[in-house]
Amino acid sequence: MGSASGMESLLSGRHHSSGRALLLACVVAMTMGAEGLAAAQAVAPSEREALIQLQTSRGGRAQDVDVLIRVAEEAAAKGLPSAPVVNKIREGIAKGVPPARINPVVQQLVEHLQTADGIVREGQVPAAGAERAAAVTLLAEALGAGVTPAEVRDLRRQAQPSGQPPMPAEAVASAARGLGFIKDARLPVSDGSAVIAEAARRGFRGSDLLDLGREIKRRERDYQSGRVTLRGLREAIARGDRPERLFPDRRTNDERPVGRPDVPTGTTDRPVRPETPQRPESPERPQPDRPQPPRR
Amino acid sequence: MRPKSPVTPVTFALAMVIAACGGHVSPLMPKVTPAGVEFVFVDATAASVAVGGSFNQWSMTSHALRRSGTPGTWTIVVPLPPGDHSFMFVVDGTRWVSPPIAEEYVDDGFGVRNGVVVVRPTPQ
Repeated sequence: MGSASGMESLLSGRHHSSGRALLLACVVAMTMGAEGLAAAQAVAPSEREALIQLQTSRGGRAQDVDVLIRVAEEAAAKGLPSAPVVNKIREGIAKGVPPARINPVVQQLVEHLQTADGIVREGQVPAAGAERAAAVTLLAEALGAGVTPAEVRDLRRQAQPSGQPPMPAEAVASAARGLGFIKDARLPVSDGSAVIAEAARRGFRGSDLLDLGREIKRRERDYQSGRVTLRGLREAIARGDRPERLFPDRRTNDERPVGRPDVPTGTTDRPVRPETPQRPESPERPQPDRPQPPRR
Repeated sequence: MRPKSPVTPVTFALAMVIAACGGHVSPLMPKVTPAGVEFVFVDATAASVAVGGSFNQWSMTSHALRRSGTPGTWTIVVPLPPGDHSFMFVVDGTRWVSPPIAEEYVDDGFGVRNGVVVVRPTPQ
């Protein structure tokens, strides 16, 4: 923080020579490095105040928030994206979760971010700035959804087209998250990986890889029952079928799926059951350790 | 001749039935529109409803829903960038409620499920 306060004094005009100040500022910035700057800005003072105010307004103690903020700052000091950590802290406090219960959740999130960061660093395509942070965050989400690091590495190996440039981090992260949906549907990981890898090799965009996993999950009963198969889907992708042909009733921004979908190309000769939107298993779970204000 | 009232007895009775049923009006999934994501929540007994999520740092106040024409129905349109956005509804300023229906759900880590709305990028 010494560097930051030094920067503050430079900016406040206490140094008489503006040229020297500028030079000093450059030296400080280079000394701190990008990661150091990120660490210094992990939790802005206004954000810290907002978190503390939110916590104290709910009858909590400010020092409990400091413990959580420290987790975010430590993550930032390691060069990890701190935004998802701060957001999770904010979510927990807003929902009235005791800090003692928020702490392990954000600790685990940081672990996933760290593992994801390691995997991204292993990639041969350098990623930086917001692009890298987005890839690390998405990959951490995939890990949180149950995809293992070994499965991510295996997926990256399978998805890498021979003789082509290495997959960018964003594509690896999207592929892994897509696999997470397939795992969530309790379908064989090896078959799911093969489908996602084939799609990645065929140049599906990151958002298409995510939607591929989602669409498979939406049809999990059909895949589990054998009405349609992941092998058939992979073959259709290998033949060059694009997402709009694979899933004519897929979700888009413009419309909700309606009516009966066509038969997905090359996957089955039987119609797929019409999709139904998800409902929560338990919309309002009892939360005995949280204060529940009386309902009007 | 007296002009015909736009509110017929049948319409009025239907509105009363819907109001009496309160939360039994079919909920709707968040819908992506050109203006943003339209969130709809149905609760005839609520005094206020807001949506909090990853897009507004889980604020309980910044995105308040307004009563729509249908009794007990609350709506808001929120411009959101492409991506996945977790959310829940906040009823009466204090009570967090999982969306009754959503495209996806994700465990929030604290024992409750957040709804997820997916805003897809514009097709290339």
